[in-house]
Amino acid sequence: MAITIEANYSKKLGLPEYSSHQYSVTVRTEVTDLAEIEAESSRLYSLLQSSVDREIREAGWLPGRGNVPESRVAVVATPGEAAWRCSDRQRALIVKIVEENGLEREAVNDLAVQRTGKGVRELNRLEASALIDELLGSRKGAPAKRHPAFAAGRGVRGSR
Amino acid sequence: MITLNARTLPGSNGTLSRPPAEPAHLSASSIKDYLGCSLRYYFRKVVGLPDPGSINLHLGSAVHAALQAHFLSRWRGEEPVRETSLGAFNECFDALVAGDAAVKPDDAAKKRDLGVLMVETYLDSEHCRDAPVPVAVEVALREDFARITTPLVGQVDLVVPDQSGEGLVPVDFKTVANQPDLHMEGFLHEAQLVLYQLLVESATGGRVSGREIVFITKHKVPRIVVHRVPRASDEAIERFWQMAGAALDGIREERFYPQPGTACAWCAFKESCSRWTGEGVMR
Repeated sequence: MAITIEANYSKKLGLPEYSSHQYSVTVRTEVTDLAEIEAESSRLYSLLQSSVDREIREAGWLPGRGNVPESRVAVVATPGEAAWRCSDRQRALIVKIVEENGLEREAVNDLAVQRTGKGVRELNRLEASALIDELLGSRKGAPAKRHPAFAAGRGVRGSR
Repeated sequence: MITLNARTLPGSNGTLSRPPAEPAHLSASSIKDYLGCSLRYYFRKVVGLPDPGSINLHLGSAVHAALQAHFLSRWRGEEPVRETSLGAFNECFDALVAGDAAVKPDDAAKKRDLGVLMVETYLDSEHCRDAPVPVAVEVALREDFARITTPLVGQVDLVVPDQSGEGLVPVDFKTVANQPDLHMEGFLHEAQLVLYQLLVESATGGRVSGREIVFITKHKVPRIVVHRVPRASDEAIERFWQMAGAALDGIREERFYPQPGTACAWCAFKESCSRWTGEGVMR
């Protein structure tokens, strides 16, 4: 009778400027006897820990140091493009909304400037969250309309 | 085949039937829920048992919707239209009441009238009239912190620039039955207010200079009570981290037990709780 062991080892490191770095590895294996569990668990722990510890040393890009409060806001850059100030997740979501809805990037940027006084790339994470909600028209209680950028023929590329 | 980490639900046959307790994120309400009663947290967040609403919760949600509509107009640079805010109230209230078979039509009508009055009272208030153009309205924030290994989340009703010109002020609206005891309310909502400060500062790189709770009472003549507190001290922030850490540890280690107290009187999970027999397993 097969007995499944699922082992996960995760490590998170606190880094300067309110940042952190996390890596985890999960393995699922089988043993045939309950008596093998202790040894297998010990083996897996050693294997997973060494794997995580080896990889997690490379923390990659870190936010800038210093006392300037804006340095706490993560700046994500793609080679050849100006950096975005919001999170990776927010940037990906904004790009996805633009692409899936065939929006003009300029229209979305104009919207960001109207609402916050800043272009999309300069938005901090709070402002980006607000813009995303505005693009989606997803807030409960908000007037039941999507932003004009989604209206037919306005700020929309192609045939959508 | 035997799975080592089997967990059971009431009435199940011993096979794995619910997801692990590890939270994808943690909110102030989750922290407060777990520390208030870990088993209630288990039922609500881990198992996902339905948490029946009430006409008063529907009223609160609808009032929030109205205020959100008002401040969204301001955020968009538009002149707020009262009918739009009241329309948002009615739309939200109708939807919630329609989905709640326990609500009696007479009760719904009375609460609707009260809700409209509460909204109008706030819109006429000094706090509303003097509020600056918001930085964000009903904004969802999710931030990573070095002090805790799970992201923290929060939905802030309103973020405005401080009238003094320095810093940001997160604002939370609450509908309450009676005139609030501000000292007690500040104590009860401490975790939420500290978390909002941490989230807003992390998400903006700015500084929170104060925090506000705006109470709207459910009286025949509603009252608006604005409770402003200064930014959280280092001690208050450390207290929050300790509470959050304690909650997260307990959740991860699946320490879910009944914690009898006065809140049991209105707990939606009394019946499920009564079947708890120990070690998080109900039979």
